[in-house]
Amino acid sequence: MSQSTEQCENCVKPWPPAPGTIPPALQKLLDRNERWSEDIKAIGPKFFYESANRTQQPKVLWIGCSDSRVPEGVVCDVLPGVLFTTRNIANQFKPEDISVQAVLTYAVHLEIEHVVVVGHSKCGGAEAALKYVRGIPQDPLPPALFEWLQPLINLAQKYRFLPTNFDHALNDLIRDNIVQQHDNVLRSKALRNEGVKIKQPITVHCWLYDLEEGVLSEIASRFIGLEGFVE
Amino acid sequence: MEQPKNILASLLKRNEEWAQDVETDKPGFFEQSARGQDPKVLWIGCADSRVPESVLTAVPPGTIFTTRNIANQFPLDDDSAESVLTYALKIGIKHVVIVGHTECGGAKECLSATRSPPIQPFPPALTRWLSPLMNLAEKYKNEPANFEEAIQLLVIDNIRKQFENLHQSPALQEAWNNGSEISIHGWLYELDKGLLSELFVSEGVKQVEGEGEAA
Repeated sequence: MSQSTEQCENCVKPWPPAPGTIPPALQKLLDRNERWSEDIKAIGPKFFYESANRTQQPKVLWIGCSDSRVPEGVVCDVLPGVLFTTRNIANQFKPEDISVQAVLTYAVHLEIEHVVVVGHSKCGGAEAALKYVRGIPQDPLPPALFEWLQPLINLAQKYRFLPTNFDHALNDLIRDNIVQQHDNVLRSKALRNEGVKIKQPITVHCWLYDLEEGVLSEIASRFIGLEGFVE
Repeated sequence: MEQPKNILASLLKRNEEWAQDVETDKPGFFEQSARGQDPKVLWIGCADSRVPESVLTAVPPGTIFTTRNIANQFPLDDDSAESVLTYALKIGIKHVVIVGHTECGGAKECLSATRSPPIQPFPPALTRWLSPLMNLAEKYKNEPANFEEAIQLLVIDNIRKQFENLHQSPALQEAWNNGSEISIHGWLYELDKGLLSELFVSEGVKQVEGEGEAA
């Protein structure tokens, strides 16, 4: 631990909660978790034991947005164990991003049958990208965010002028974004049998989550056989 | 659960029913939610299907801003993680929880690899991503002899390492510098109990472990 103290000598001190207390927002999560755990045990006493003692066997990989309003397990109303999940800003699957590539590789290793790329309406990342290309005033984007959003900003160029209605343009951009990530997944090494062998046919889907209705729908999908993605 | 072949159809159906239930129980929920998000917590967790943050804390959508990857990493130079943290701070998050879990597949793969190097190496994509965890696993190459005990220790070391990495995040440093009161916490999810607990919490430059052990 002293090692980390030395590293932190030049760092700004973090803000600590009052000693011995957990912030209310977090205490609420811990309390709810405790009740949830008891509820599950009451319905299925063996659930946690079995979940822990078998390796996970999810059939679906969810590639989604970090947006707090799109928690995959709640939105699909499923128990733990169903959805292998990665979430980042604006549900990106970038070829050079080692984070998502590792997730997909591991998912293929787990013999997932479906990959769902899930975008959603009112996506903040897409909105920021569109405002940027249209020159609409917004809080300046921190460099880390600006860099991350480059692919979206490039996609948004197409919508610089039309449709004139911002919301319509945003919806079109969000769809384009989902399709682009879907295409990136198809072209990944993991789906070309490079580095990991596909043992189970996989279908890659484009899904859209409509925040205003709470409803998921499929836009498109592509089936991949054991031979992997072929252009 | 449902037959694997129909799993996507069943997910869409469950979602449709869930949406109807929510609208019945809390009319206007989605309309309200669509206006904006205001979560106070950022969850940095594992992609493991058994650790869905909002299900196991039984919270409604809009509560927890989330990023999940293999073995709940917050690597020092990772664009994905840093952009999530940056965005989270921008929208007013107050607490960051880095959440590891027992039976972590990534930790098991790494420990197995140090104890008996596999004939087939990991795919390059995984090797690269897991290299920090492999380094941590080296410490447990021989002791403790019991694999399960060693995994427990490695999982906790991993949470601690990500917790330390978080301190170095430029976005977080800037937020603290500007006087923002953001606390960071290391949590453990025990799969066999379904329970979360706090291991570490930020306190000045000392990290105080939840069990009462001072830094």
